[in-house]
Amino acid sequence: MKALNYLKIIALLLPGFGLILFFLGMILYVAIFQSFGLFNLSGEDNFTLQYWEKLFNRKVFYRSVNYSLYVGVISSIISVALAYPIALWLRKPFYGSIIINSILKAPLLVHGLVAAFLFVNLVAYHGIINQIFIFIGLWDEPIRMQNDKNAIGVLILQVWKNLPFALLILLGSIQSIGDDVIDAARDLGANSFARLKKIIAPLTISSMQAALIIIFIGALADFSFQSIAGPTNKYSLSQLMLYYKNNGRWHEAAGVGVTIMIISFLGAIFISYLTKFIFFGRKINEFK
Amino acid sequence: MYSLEVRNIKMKYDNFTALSDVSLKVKKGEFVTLLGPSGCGKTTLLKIISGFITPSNGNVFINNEDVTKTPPETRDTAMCFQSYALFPHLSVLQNLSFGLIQRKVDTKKRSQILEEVVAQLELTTELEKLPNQLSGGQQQRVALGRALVMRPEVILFDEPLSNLDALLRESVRIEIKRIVKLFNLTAIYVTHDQHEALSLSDRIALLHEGSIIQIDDSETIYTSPKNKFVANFLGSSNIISAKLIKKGNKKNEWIFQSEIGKLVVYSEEVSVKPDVHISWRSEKVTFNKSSDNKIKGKIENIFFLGSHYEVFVKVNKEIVKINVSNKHLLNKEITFFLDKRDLKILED
Repeated sequence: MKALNYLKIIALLLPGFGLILFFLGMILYVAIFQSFGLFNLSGEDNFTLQYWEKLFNRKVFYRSVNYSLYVGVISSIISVALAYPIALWLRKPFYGSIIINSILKAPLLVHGLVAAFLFVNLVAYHGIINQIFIFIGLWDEPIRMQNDKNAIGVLILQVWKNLPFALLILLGSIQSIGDDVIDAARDLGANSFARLKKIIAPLTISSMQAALIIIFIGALADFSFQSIAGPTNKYSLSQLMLYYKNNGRWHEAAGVGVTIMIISFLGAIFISYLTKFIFFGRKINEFK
Repeated sequence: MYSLEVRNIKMKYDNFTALSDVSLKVKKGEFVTLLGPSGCGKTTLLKIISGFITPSNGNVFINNEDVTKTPPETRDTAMCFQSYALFPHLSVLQNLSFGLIQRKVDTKKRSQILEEVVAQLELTTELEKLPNQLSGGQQQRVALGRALVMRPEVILFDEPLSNLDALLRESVRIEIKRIVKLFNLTAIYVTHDQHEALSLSDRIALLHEGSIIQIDDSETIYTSPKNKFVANFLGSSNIISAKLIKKGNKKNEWIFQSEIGKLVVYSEEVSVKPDVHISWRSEKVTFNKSSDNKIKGKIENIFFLGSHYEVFVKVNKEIVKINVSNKHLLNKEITFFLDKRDLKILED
């Protein structure tokens, strides 16, 4: 009877969970094996470490890792940091809050490529911003803003796209904190920053971690924003992977893919521990 | 000098007036309860005192200093919330220390204060626990301790016992009274429970529709209600309309004709209106024949309430409620007596 029950549960879970597990497993299997010379699409399978060695000997690989980490870390932190005050502002309904909330979530409906294209229209040499500033006399001649070397454009796009997502996750969590709890902190002398740091952030830490991790992984593996609005002298990891693949170097492309997965995994763990350490790290030892 | 003074407070929300011209003075170490039915403005007044609400008009003074515009975080008050409002992610010790850390009290003094409060509230074994690992009474004690460690000029209680069961309510009530007296704190306590108010307070301020109707010590407010609302709200009262017949032969004695017969009432008022309402507590009946007013009626209903019987008696056309502890007196008809000093002439 017990076994039958387990079988029933497995049968019910299989269409959803099984599918996820199958595809995830397949991707991991193919990418990892391919990076070691197996699963060869244009020749014989040979287990080798040469593709990893090649990757580790190339500067472009490290630059891509650094650049992708930079975009991933900065965009996830800024998105969540900006989402918090907005979520706090929208915590209690007020006249017009539903409209504001809807507008803020609109970027979720715009595809990344479209957003990047619109952004380029804004910041291009002959784009709208340059034209406006020249028209009002603030600038004498157009400024080159497109594909800037510090990837500010990519970061703006990442934050624009991900802030609504962070808001979506954080808002529900912040709304679930009782007014009395926040009032109690205030009554005990906590100013706005202390309330955010010591009460609101720790109580919404799960949502914060989820938002940070998902945005970090998405931004780390960004392709569309980088291709259109990113610096031309740097490759993101996704771009590097595509470059290898387009040149028929499947094994190295798989190596970059595995690198993205490893960094995502380690990044998720690091974010979880770091946020916990920041908000729960210090213990009070009054009587010890 | 008063610890707390509330002067001409008004609070308006669009067309709704939550408080109208409320004034209150509280001495150091005094326990004042704001009592009233739901929506009477008692919590609004408490939130104005604590600084969470800025009044539309009027001022709040703490130790003679105008704090009307001072935010709660810098105001010398501490609040015990109805929901306890403990920080769920912090241990009992961290909850208790929170306010002291915010106020940057040095570690040595902090330990000293905490040790004293923890011992008084018997929380020594609970310090490492999270709030969800505590019982309701323990959570209440932590909430109380969190406010106490702040050593506030005024401690505020917002219906702190309403989430506790009857048995626990009584023990926490005793605890609150003991602690408040022990630390000589000025306390403002909000409740709609008359028993809590009567047992805890030095004075009770009874609020109705945004105004303080009567403010007196527990005994006075109970035995000498000012008007029908107070008489009805506090305890079990009989209120009957009566007409003045004449002044009695003895000093401060007035004779009235009421629906339950002639009544002799003792009142120190210089003059009495011809048409009044007279109230008397249902437990004030006696069966001592030497009392001033003899009343005879037919028993309509009897309810056993443990310590006594609640008896509804029809006297002429009026139904009155009396408390009787002796079962043998409960026949079809009953004769009881009312002392003239237990009858109160109500205002309005």
